[in-house]
This record gives sequence, C-alpha cells and structure tokens, in this order.
Amino acid sequence: MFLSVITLIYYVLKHEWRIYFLLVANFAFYYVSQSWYLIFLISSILINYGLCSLWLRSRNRYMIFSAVLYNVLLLAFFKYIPIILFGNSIPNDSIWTKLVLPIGISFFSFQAIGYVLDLYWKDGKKQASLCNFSLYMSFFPQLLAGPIARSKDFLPQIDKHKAFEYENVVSGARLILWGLFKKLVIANNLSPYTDAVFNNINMHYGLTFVIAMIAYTIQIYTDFSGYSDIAIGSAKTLGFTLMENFRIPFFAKSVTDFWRRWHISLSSWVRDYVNTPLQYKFRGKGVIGILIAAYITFLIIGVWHGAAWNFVAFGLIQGTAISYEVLSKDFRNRVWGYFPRFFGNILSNVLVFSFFSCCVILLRVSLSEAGMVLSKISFNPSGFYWGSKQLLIYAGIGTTIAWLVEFVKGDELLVDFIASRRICFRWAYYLGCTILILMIGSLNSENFIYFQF
Amino acid sequence: MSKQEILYVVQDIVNSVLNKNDIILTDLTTANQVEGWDSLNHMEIITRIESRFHISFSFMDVVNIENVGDLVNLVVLKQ
Repeated sequence: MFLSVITLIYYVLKHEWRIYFLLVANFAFYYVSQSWYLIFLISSILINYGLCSLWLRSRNRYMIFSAVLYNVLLLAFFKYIPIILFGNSIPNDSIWTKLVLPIGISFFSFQAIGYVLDLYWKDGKKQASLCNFSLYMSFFPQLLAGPIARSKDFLPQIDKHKAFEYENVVSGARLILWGLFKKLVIANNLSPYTDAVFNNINMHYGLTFVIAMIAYTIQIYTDFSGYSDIAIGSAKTLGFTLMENFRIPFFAKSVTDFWRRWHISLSSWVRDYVNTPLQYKFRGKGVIGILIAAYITFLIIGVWHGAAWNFVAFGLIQGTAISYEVLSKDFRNRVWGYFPRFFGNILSNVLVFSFFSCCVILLRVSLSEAGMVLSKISFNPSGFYWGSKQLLIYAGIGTTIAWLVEFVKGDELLVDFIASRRICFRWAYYLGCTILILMIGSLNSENFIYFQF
Repeated sequence: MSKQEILYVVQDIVNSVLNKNDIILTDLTTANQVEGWDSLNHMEIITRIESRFHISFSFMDVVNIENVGDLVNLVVLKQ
C-alpha cells in the first residue's frame, strides 16, 4: 500500500521535486518502523557526509579513518558491546535494556563505510550532494534488510530523469509477486515447524533435526531472498536498479561458488572492503596469506550476524571450507573429472546444500544447542516429529515450484526470464503465484528473519 | 614492450593461474567475465604480473583496476 502511494505520487511530481519527496518518504518509513531511532540514521548520514567533506578539503586521511571508525563503533554499541560486557544478562539499570537494535543498522552502516572508502580509494575530487547521499543511505526499499547498495551503482541513478516506464513497474511487480510467493507460501509455512523443533530441542530426536535443518535452510533462503525480491522489485517500480542478492545458491558447485551466489551484496561488500585489502597486505605470504584473509573475511561475515559464539563458529566453519577448497583445488578437479558432468553437478549441489544446512543452524540456535542437536543426530537418531503435515505439504509444493523455476532460468534474472516468455506463460505465472499465495500462503510470521541482523 | 605484448603476457599469466589454456583477453575484459577469476585468484594474478614485469602496484592501483585494459595501462605506466 505504502509503495503504491509513493510510486503514484513519485511519477506525478516533477523530476526536480522527486528526490525530496523520496527522501521524506524514506524518513517517514523509518519513523513509522522505529520512531525516534530515526535520529541514528540521520546522524549517521550527517556525520559520514561531514567527515567526507572535511577530507575533501584537507585530504587528511584521519577524516576517512574517523568515518569508518564511527560506523564500526555505532554497530558495536548496539550489536556487540552489550553482549561482550554482560552476555545474555544485561543489568536492569543498564542503558542497553532501554535500547533496541536500530532496524537496518547493519545495512546502512556498511553502505556508509562503502561510500567513504570508495571516495578515498578513487581519490574523489568531490562527493555527491547531501540530498543524494541521504537518499542513498535511507532508500526505503532496501533500508531494512538490504541489498547493500554501492554508491557507484546507486548515486548515478538519482539524477537520471525517470519518466514513467510501464516496463519498470511491471518488472518490479513481477519480482514482488515472486518474493511474496517465496515468503508466504514457503518460508511462513515452514516456520511453525522449525520453531517447534528449535525452540524445544530437548523434546526432539535425531531424524527430526535432520529434517528441521533442511527445512530451516529452505526457510531462511526463501525468507531472505523473498524479502530481497520485494526490495529490488519495489526499487524497480521507482526506476531504480538494485544489486541482485541471490543467484540460485543451491545450484552452487562448491562452497566458494556458493558464497558468490548467497547474500551477494554482503559477500561482495566484504570481498571488496575487507578481503581485497587483507589479500594485498598478505600477498607476500603466498597461500598462507590467502587463507588468513579468507578466515578473517568469513569471521566478519559470521559476527556481522551477531555477537555470539554460534555466529563466530559459523564464520570459522565457512573460512575452513573455503581454505580447504583453495588447498585442494587441483585434487578436487581431478576427482570431479572422473564423474560424468551431469552427475558431478548434481552431487556437488547436494554436498554444498548439505554442508550449508549443517552450518545454517548456527544462525538459529546457540552454540551449545547446536552441539546438543549434533549429539542427538549422532547418538539418538530415532523418533520423528511431523508437526503440521498440511503446512509442510504446502511448503513442499512451493519449494518444488521454486526449485523448478530456478533450475529452468539458471543464472538469468527472474525479471528477464519472465519478460522473455510468451504471454500465456507470463499469465500462468501471475495467476499461479497469486492463487497459491491466496490458497496456501501463510501470514503467520510478521517479520523477515534478516530484520534481526 | 608494446601494449599488445603486455596483453599477451597478462593473458598467459591468467591462463596459468586459472589452469586453462583457452582464455582470450581484450582491453574490455573484466574479471567477472572470466570463469574462475575470482577474488581468491585475483591477487595471485596481480602478484605474478608484478614479478614478471619487475614492478610494484600500490593498493590504490589494485582497487582501481576495472578491466584488463586498466591493468595493461598500469603496467605500461610502471615500466
């Protein structure tokens, strides 16, 4: 509803007024979401912009350092310091009991750091206007949970005159529909089952956890990629193109390939702003340097999700897998060469999916609970809990359809894939998604999983 | 060395690092367009180019490389 109203007013207004209108809409959106926490977003905009302005005048790189440090400290204050100081028992009189995590802080802080570093590394002579920078930082379609935008991709789009283009609105709507399908038909129908299992670990046994881990993997993917599709589609209706955030990750042939396809805006951000500088610094150390850089990179990806040992473990496991693949590249190429290509692709997809299913539980439960789950799978495999079979069947139908669509379209963007089909296929897509959403979609879950990060 | 000769050397290095022999590079080729040229291989390619041409790239040089043409121009500049 909000998007429809904003889109309508946006295209009615003259071009020179649109930016200001969008800016007001962005801030209004954030204020409605989290009230006075809007002050943190606005202060982040002003402080980052101000420090960049000071750098442009003085070329004193401590301004850049201060900007990066400010964003890191802001994140640390809300996400990490309370846990580090108090663990899970924050004293009642502590300031942190009165604060909640500002929505989107992990995303707009990273966008700010990216903007600052791009300006510095490109030795920029001037920066965007405050208005354009504010729009970049606060753009409502992606403010809450990404995709993390890059200044070099987003800022040039602001000043381009955007006449109403029917194709943009239709493309955006197609993507929003697909996102809603994944969220409502698949993710929301899986969440009662995964919640019932992972919120009551003591009550369940090995096989249940195996199924629940697979279910949670599908749930987190369809939830987050669904949100991303809605965000990218919403931006598209306003004439903005955001970065693709997922590219059929479960068709990856290796963990390295997986991280080029999963949460692309985060993994590419960490690659460019963390991994590349680290690799440059350690390049004299050969393979060891690459491995050190990989471990630090994935540790950061892990703790980006939160300050707890399960997130640290998640990052370290990914780093270990990447390191293994770096060290065993030639060996693995020889082994895969013995398999027929089609069979090798299927097997590698299954292995990568299985690996990630085992890891993703660390984003859901604590480290000790994950240990308990592993122990029960290993030593207490019997007994199975179905939960609501009806919801699992609905999710299964949705998952099968989603898998087929992804298999057929491959790496092609969904909007391009749909647009290039015949009209009968396109209408089958619209009607099919809509009917399934209405008939078997669930509104039981209010929020998207990645809002908590 | 001419730009074209430098391009051929860079192409050989890329083929060697990626364990291939059929990669053809042009000035407009980007890393994304070459299968296997990812962040894990990128720095090795850069390091081998530095070693081959006896030059040194700064970090700013590396992050501002957009395509193979930029890389070749950088080698010309540093020689």
